[in-house]
Amino acid sequence: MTRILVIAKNTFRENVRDKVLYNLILFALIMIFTSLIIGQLSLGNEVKIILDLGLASISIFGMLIAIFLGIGLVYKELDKRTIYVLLAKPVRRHEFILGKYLGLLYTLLVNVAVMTVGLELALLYQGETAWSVFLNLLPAVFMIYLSLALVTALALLFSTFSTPALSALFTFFLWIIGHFGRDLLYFGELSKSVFVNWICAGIYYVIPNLSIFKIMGSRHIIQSLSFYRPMDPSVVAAAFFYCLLYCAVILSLSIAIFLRRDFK
Amino acid sequence: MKAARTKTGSRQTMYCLGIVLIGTLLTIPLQNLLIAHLNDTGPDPDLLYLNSPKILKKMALGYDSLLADIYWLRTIQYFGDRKEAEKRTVRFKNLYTLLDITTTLDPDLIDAYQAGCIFLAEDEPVGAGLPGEALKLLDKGIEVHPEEWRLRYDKGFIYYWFLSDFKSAGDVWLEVSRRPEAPEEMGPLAAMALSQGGAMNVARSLWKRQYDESTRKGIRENARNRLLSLQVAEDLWTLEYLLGVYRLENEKYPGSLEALLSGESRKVMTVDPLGTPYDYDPETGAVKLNPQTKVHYVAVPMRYKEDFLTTLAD
Repeated sequence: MTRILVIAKNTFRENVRDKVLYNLILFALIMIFTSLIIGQLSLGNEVKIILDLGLASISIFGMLIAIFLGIGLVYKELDKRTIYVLLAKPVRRHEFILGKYLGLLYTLLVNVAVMTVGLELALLYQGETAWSVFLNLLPAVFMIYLSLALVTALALLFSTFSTPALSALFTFFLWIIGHFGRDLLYFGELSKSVFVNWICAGIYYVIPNLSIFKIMGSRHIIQSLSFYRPMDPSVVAAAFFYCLLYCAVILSLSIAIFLRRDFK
Repeated sequence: MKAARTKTGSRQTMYCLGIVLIGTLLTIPLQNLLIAHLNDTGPDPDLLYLNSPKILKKMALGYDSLLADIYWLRTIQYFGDRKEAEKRTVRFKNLYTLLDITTTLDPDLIDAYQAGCIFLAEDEPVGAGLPGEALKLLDKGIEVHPEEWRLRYDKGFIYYWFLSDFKSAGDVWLEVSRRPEAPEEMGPLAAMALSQGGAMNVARSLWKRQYDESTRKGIRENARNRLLSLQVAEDLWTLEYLLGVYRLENEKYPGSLEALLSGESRKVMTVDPLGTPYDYDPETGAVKLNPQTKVHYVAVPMRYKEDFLTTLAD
């Protein structure tokens, strides 16, 4: 466990030195503060616009950070041949993978926290003082973080056997397909062939369903108005366990692939 | 040798700076020419390439709420930019589609139903002149939010004002009045609509309510114009009536409106609500709004005149 944490700590340090990270955070913060101007055009929906644009910025830029940093996690070590030094020490391969993953998760946590503070400051500047809005923002950000954890696991999986460019493509396309899961299932149900139905259902369950993490939009955050549906904590809990299980599966697969790699 | 080279170098720099300066100055008329050409491209075909709400919802990749905001802002610009609207062959052809997309992407955006139904129902050139589409939009909202009485109130309003269907308006408001969350005045409003459809006092109370309760500048402005127009219509119809009575008694029209009126009414009824005197022709007895008036007059339906004159004669 100590070895995993040491690798995680070093991965975090390595990520912090990456300039791409700062550019993305800066851009996300600019987007969040731009929402203050855009919100003024909305005929009284300023808070909603700030929340929507803010949450989307956290999600999209978080995803970009997860992909760009995740794809290089293993590949960089192989490319620079530092993997030889590492594995010559008493570090097991699964510890290396888990350490890398946790390091990136920690980096993402810090980034998401910075962007969330930016969003809350934008809301404060707009004059939003209701505690409920600020508190309800946290589960929404948590859901985004879960989806980022899943994307990171996918990027890491591809990073164990592919080049960064291909890994980025694979992860990005899986991210898109992950939003169309239900359509795939529906397509299978429409088909008269049992075989097609089975195939579609199989793909539906194998591909991560990312749409379940997008259920927390601004409508769940602004609850002061009667027409917004109240948030259901059991949905957040179910999403958390889905993410946990899925990440465990992907990481196990990554470890299995990494164990079989020959570094000679 | 070195001095000569430096002199040549500085001359070249000067040439370059000269080209930069002249080039920049030349781009100004060129750019203005291009912009003028771009602005004169004939009527706007008003194309909406993506017009299926369901497909857009799929393409949103979970960012439905954000895309709804973008479409809502686009709807406001589409409706609010009068210059652009004039360039289109049909002013607000895509207004309903834009509102449909916005409310499909975010069914909880109540403002889109409320403001959207007014945008749609208002007669041209203020709105799209499509009260039927406004009802369709409100029905969509009511289906998603059956608890939201304001949407039903707006539905009654569209029936009452834009379709002159007082019975349907009264029925909708009566249904609203039975809901515990609805304000108390819904019952009397329903009764008034059912018993006195087309009465000025009902019309005034409806627009007053819009003016007092709306938080949107455009809608308040429209309601204010409507209230002022109702006042102007009442003044003009009263003056016409009194001038008719005067002529019957004296076989001619009075020399001025002041001669017709006495006391407080002289001060109030000879000028419009914003203080500009009405135009009066003593030869024909015609009385109308002064062209210099600050009132943005929106025509009041003639059916209100009949009701008003009956009340006045009584």
